Amino acid sequence: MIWAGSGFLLLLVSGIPIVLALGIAALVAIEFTTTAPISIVAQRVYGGISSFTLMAIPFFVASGLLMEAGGIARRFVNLAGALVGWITGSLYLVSIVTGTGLAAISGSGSADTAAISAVMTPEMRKRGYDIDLASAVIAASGSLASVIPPSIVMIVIAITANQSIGAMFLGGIVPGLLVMTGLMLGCWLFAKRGGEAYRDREPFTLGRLGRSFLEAVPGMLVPVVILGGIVGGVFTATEAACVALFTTLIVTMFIYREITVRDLPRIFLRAISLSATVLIIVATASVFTWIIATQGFPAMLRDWLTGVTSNPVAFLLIVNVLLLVVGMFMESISAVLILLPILLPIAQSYGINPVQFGVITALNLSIGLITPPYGICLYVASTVAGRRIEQVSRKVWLPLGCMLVALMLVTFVPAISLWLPSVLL
Amino acid sequence: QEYSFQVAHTNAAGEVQDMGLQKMKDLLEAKTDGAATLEIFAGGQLGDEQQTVEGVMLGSLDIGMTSNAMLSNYVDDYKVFDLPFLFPSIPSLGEKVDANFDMMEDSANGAGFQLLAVFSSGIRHLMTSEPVEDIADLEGMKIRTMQNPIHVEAFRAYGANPTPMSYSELYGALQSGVVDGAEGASTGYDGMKFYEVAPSFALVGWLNMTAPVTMKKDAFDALPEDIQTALMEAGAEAASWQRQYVVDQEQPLLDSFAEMGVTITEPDTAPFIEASQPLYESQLTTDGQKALFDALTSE
Amino acid sequence: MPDRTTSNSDTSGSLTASPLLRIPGLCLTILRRIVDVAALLLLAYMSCAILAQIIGRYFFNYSIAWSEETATFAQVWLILLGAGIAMRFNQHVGVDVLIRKAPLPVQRLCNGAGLLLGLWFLGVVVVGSLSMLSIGFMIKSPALQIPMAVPYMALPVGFGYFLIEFAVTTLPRVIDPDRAAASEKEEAKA
Ligand code: NA
Ligand code: NA
Repeated sequence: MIWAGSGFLLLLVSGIPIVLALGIAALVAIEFTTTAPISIVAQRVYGGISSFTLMAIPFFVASGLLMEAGGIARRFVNLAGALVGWITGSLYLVSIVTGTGLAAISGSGSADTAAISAVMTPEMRKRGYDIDLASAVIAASGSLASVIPPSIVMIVIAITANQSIGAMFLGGIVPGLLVMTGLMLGCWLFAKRGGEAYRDREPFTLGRLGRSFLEAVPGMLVPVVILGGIVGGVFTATEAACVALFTTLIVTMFIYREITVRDLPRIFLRAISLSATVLIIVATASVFTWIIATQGFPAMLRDWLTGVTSNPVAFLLIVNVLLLVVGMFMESISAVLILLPILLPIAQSYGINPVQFGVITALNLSIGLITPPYGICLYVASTVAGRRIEQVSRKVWLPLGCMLVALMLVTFVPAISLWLPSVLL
Repeated sequence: QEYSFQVAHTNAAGEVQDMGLQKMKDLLEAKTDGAATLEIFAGGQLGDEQQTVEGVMLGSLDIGMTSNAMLSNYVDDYKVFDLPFLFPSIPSLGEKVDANFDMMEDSANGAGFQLLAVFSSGIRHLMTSEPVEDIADLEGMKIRTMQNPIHVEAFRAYGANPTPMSYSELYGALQSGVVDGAEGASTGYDGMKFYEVAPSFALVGWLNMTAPVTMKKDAFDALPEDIQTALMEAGAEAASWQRQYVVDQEQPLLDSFAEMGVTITEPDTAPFIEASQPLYESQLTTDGQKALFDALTSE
Repeated sequence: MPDRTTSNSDTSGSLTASPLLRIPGLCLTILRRIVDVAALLLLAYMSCAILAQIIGRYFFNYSIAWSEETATFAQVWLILLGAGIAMRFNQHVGVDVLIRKAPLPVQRLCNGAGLLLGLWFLGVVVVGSLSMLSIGFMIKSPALQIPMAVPYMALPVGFGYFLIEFAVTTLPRVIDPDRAAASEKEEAKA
């Protein structure tokens, strides 16, 4: 196990794709520590991706890319600008509000981050904003996609924890809004002291708000159809992803008319390869989970955790540190698949609600999306803004601080994650 | 311990099927003076039901326990056990299974499995949003079934709209009304908190479901004879204990449902049984299936 | 956004340069075309099957028993082919910040070791999936009763394609890491 672990770390820094590093480490562990036939790898890979619930991922990724290419994302930015554009440091606030808005309709953070970054940074550069901070903040608001429903990570958490997906989704809303508020407050304070560049240029006008609202109305069909369909019992959460794709297609092709049939193969091929990178990791991680389970590793970690403390508060703090460290290096979904089955039973033995624990996990892992060295959202935001990851990393403290404060609140105030599900379910 | 067999299943730890395996583990250890034991992986830790059966076939798993509905994809003769209203009670199912164990063992051997035990997964009823007092109430209702052709055909025969969907989505689907109900055992109704979203429970008893415990035939044959015997005896004794355990659990569970405000109905089963008759003809196609059916249903 | 087909031929550009390698280069281009079209058809099938399932259940009160099953099979094919497509577009997530700063011989060694280990893993999966495939010919899918070999076939095919794309993208990095990095940067810009 230790061999596989250190081998995996070594492979990871050698630049090989993570999915292969995972696979190789798993294969080494199987060859040297078990008597299982090698067909177990193929069997687990198949089992890992033959799940119907995972189908939400390709559908949501495809509709996210369509939103970006078909003008829905841009119109949402305009609407957000009309709403908060008059405040000091407004472009930061617009990015955050748009990021949260996009998070509410898409399931993956990196697509959101790319979309906001592409739309917002040219204007910020023109006005003399701090682009590194902007990239870090955009990455953070994009990462909220895994906390605010619908969320791919939440779906995997709900399945792994055997919880209802609806309850998990509802549990993420208030924490997501909390982070959004924190980010806005932090950026506003930063802009207040930041000098002339951040003073407002656009007065608030009802006319502009109305115009941009009307422009964005067809785009809002997408979240309305999804939520209405799920609540109204027309389709399930997974099927909703498919409906989202068709709705986005109709809005971008026939209402906004910014997409033609000729654009579709390119967009869909990109959606396929993007979702494949996520799902193939899910598949390969399930080989790892099999090894970890059969080799008694959960019992070891459980023994260590229960031996180290019997205090729920200390346990939650340790879990937060563990997940944050894991999130620095590891992809969210494999982290859920490997760690949640170990941590959840202990959490439940302390009387911690599984939904709250799932939200804690999701928030921790979305923080992982903006922590170097492996923070996919940070990476995407800096790439799109044309900055080096090291430069952007220096400004990550502000969004990171906001998210950590929110994490502590979610960890120690159960009502933040449990109130909404308890009222609505 | 010289022999430690990894056993996987997808039921939650502590559910009736898991309790049967724990009993089997104790019995096996006692019979072999600790030379052989079972290492039980509950809750789908090593994969879903399909992976469990195929793990046994491919040799990556020693012993698997799945619902008969899954195993019958691999052991064709076991489709007989997917048929509705085959046995009136769990004890009568136990009697027939024990009396025809050799025949069932042969069927499993033919597909490369060794049958170790036949546990009970309980008797399956109907959980619905609106009470079902009579078969006519099912007309047009969307009822979630497993992805098993016989189950689907049975509910079509009862007038419902059988809707196979993944178990993990069922809670949400019941809640929002994507489906109007589902078929299932009282243990699942309790364990998954379905009573929150489907507050009516109709005691139809349409399926007396089994959970066979199997091993790869080659691997079993390679074991020393005393271990083989110990495994078979432990399996048989654990199965009789487990089937009685399921029976003992049923009434307290139903009482707790009533206390929680669940509407429990007892529809007349005669029209259900009558509607099931054509399935006995249409779904049993091979000689092996017909022979097993005759053996299990003869007086 | 660049047209994908031109960037495809860019990647195989190093191969088509030599006349001896022109035929494998051409085969690769054809293979990629087939994979792309297959992947797009699979996504189209998945979305239509699920839409049909919703429409049938909600509007006609008839649930299609096999739509979910066949869509899941299509998903398996889609992901396994998509993994190779992502390899071609260099989209798989990896941490190469450290290795890029290492001295050239170290880079070459690491890339070479990574290539061999990666090929080992992918090769083992292809071989291991053959025993699953043999089971797949014997058993039928739960709902539609088609041989399970239909979805299981995606394992050797998908991982085989992944292996080819992995070798094609990693080999230049072993031979000349600097030039490979430069041409990858060019591609990203284009
Ligand atoms: Na989201
Ligand atoms: Na990270």
